[in-house]
Order: sequence, then C-alpha cells, then structure tokens
Amino acid sequence: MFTLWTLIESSLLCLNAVCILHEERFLAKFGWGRQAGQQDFGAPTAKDQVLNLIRSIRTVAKIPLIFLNIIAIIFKLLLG
Amino acid sequence: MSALFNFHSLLSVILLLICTCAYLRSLFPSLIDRNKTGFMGTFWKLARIGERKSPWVGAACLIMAFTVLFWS
Repeated sequence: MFTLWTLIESSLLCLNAVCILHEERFLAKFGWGRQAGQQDFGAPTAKDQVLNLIRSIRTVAKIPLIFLNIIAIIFKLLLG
Repeated sequence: MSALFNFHSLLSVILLLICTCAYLRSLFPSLIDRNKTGFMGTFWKLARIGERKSPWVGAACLIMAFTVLFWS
C-alpha cells in the first residue's frame, strides 16, 4: 500500500540509515574515512564518489533530520 | 497513543528516537550528557546505542523502510 505517509516515512528512514553511520567509529575503521580518497590525484573512483555522497548527505541533512524525526515521532505517537 | 500499542509503529519510533538522540549528541553533547540516570538518562542510552552500533542501526532503518513500503 503506497500511501503518501508510507512513502514519506520510508524515505525518512532511508535518510536516517545513511546519516547514522559514524565517521570515526565505523567508516574510518574500514579505511572509508576522510583521508581515504585524498592521496591519489587521479579521477575519483566509484568508491570515492559513494563515500563523498554519504559525507555530503550527512553534512546537509543532519540538522533538518532532527526536526523531521521529532515531528514524525509525535505524529506516530498521536495518530499511530 | 496508538503507536505504543502497535509493535511495528513502536519499532520505528524507537529507531527514529535512536537516530535523533545520536544527532543531537553529536551537535550538542552537553544537552544529552547532562543526566545519565532516571528518565532523561534513556535518551543518553539511546544516543550511546546510535554511536556505538551505527551500522546495525542503519541496517535496521533500511529494513524498516522496506517493510513499511512492501510488507504491512
């Protein structure tokens, strides 16, 4: 059932799944940290681009996601 | 109060709370660290879960988004 509310909720959960990944504790442990793609000066590989996308999403969307999450929590607690 | 009586909604509320507390602690650590026991200590515990177990929480968020769309 594709209602508007389920679409909004699942996209919110997907954004949270990207933003929750911790920079130092998780990504840097596998060599996916900030220093990973900066030694070589060639064209960025696919891994660099994906990591750059994750980092940009985390930078941009963290502060709005706090408010959106609080709104969604209140909405679910009141209306279900 | 219907999210508390529906297990599926309760799970997603807990996931959203973990994510929100982890973001808030990374931005304003003193806000979450002020009290670590009692009722307000729940938020500190949730933030700690979101920091330490971040890949698992992210995977749970993805699974939850999938089930919200295609399963219920």
